[in-house]
Amino acid sequence: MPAPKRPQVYLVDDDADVRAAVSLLLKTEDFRVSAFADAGAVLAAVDAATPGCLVLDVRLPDMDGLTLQRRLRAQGVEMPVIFITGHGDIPMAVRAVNEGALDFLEKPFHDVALIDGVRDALAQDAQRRAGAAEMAQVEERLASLTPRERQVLEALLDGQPNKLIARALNVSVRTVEIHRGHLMQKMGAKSASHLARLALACADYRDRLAPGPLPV
Amino acid sequence: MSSTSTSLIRSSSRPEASASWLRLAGRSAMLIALYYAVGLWGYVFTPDAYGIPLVWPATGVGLAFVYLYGYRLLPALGLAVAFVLWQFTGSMMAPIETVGVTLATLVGVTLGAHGLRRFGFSARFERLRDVWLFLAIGGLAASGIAATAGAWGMAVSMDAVSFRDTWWLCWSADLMGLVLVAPALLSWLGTRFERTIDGGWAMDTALVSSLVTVTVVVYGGHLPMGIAMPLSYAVFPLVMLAALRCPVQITTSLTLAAGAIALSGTGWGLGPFAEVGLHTSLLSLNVQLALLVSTSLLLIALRRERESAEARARQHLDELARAGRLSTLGQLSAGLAHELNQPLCALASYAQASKRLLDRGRMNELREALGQLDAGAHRAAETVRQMRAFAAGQPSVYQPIAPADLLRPVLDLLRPEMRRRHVKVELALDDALPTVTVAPVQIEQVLVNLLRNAMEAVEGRSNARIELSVRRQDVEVQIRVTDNGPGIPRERLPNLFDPFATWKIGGLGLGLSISRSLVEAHGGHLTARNRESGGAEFLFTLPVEARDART
Repeated sequence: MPAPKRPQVYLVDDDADVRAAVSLLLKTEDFRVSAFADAGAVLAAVDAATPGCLVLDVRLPDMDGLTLQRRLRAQGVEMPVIFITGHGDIPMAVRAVNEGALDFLEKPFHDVALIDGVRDALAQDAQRRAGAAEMAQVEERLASLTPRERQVLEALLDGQPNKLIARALNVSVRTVEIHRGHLMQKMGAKSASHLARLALACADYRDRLAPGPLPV
Repeated sequence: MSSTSTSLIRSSSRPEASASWLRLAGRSAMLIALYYAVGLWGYVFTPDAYGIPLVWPATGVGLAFVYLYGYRLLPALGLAVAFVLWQFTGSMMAPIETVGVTLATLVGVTLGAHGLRRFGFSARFERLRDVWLFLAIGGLAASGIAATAGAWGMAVSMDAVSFRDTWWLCWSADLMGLVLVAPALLSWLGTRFERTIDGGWAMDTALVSSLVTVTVVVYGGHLPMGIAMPLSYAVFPLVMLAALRCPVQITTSLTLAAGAIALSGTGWGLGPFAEVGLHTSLLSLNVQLALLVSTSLLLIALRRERESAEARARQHLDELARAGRLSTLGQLSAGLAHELNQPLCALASYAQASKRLLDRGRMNELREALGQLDAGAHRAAETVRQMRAFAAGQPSVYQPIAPADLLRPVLDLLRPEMRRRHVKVELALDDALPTVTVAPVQIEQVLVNLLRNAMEAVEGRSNARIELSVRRQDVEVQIRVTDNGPGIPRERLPNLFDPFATWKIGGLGLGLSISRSLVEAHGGHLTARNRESGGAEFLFTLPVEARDART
């Protein structure tokens, strides 16, 4: 297994002085920083596979920061975004945060605010990546179930007792218990409720979370 | 303490007081001497029949002095009047009448001087109103009362002379003297010698010498009447030219000289007016001189009025340019604030990084960061300087300047705006452009107006482009702003430069109108057209400095 890559901070601002100064500030905390003058450059350079975060100026020469954020999402870059602005532009701040920006800092900002923001962003990214890896594992396990085990799982998710499941599948209660044992083992579930949580997080069963009439 | 300071003030005021007494004594002496001299001269023109002088400039001298230096000169004037009366009519006029005539003259002059001051007369004859004031108050108050007193004095002294016959003779003589001598005295003693139009001493000298020559020839008695009479009108063009081109003092001196020579000649029986007897001849000459003086005073006043109207117009134009500049700054302030906030952000970040580097003992990096901080602060200061230079603007003096130096502050100012609107301005300057003589504040405003219009026209286009070119074309420099926007709507073209002819929301429509006025005030012209390839073109010209044009 390869060692996890060191996180990358992408800084985008059209002002060379600001780029140099903010890069230096972040480097004092030993962040890995690369700076870009416009949206085009960062879109070309960003690597979705490397953990990291983005620090974007709201106004860039070729597009505004919100458009850049959307383009990054479209490109599959899910890293957290911190906006920086020299305009005190409240409506834009609201829109940015609504569209998923992590933070919005007004220039000139406090070093602590920026550094804490970047740290939070990298932590969030790491968590997201870890969560994503775990999910992928669960999905993989779900895919390894036999069709009969899937039937038992779905019946369990519907809250049916073993006796009813056995009758519905036209097998003995003992057989249901054996399938259920395999199922728990394959999914790595410690209890029935853990199994339900894992299964409901998967794409196939997410819709069963939708509120509906309670089974009586 | 207070007594010391009082005595100090008293002792220090003493020399001033004695100086002012000296000044008064000097002016009084000058008044008496001049009054006596012109009185003496006036008695040259006394026809044998009546003993009434046909020109009497003495009242004019009195009026000018009392108007200029105040009522403290009245005692000296009284002395002068009494002395002149005693000198020339001593045997004929009883002492009581001498006193009466003297008092009446003093009253006339006092009323005249008071009237001139009360109604704000300007000794420079700056407005037509000053001419009317001078003629009305001089004629009614000063000459009117002095003439009434003189006629009364003579009528009482001499049986042969009736008051009704002599009054209007005395009055016209007095008024004639007044209009000849008072303007010269008022202008020389009461106003600064100001050269407003080119021409210089050469023109003054030429005018004075030709006028003196012509008048001496005409009234020297050597020319036949058929030539001398028409030639006597040659003074008119000379005086008119002086009124329009020379300082006011030169003009008033010319009319005084023309009058003095003509009257003296005629008084001695020489010249075209001397043929028909002193009485008739001096009266007809007086009419001619009265016309000459009125013409010159009216022209002086009209020229002054035109000059001050032009000065006001120039000042308004300049104020408009400044107002436009401030309004431009207001509109650009968001961009300018951003322009300053960027370096501030960089400085703050450098400072914070420095603190952290110091805490970690990374001295080499710290030194470099502090160097960057210093350089950044200077760059920020430069931004502020450019902004301030544009906002304050230098006083609107015309100065020779290279076209590139005119463009720089404008482009500096508009750079944030260009960045915000994502517009590029391409510059095309000819090599070796000549300097132009302009008021930079005003031409910069024209450039700002044209460039901002162009930016608004092209904003949002993917290939937005503005070209600013400066070329030399013969004796002018052409400055052209072209854009690739939608162009000027056809129906707007004919009245594009009219004030308030705007089609932009939020625009006042004054920018182009003011720009054209500013360019025309510099002797250039501003035109607009749509290019065949699309987009608008604004072109204005500035004349190349005369000296530069030759090289």
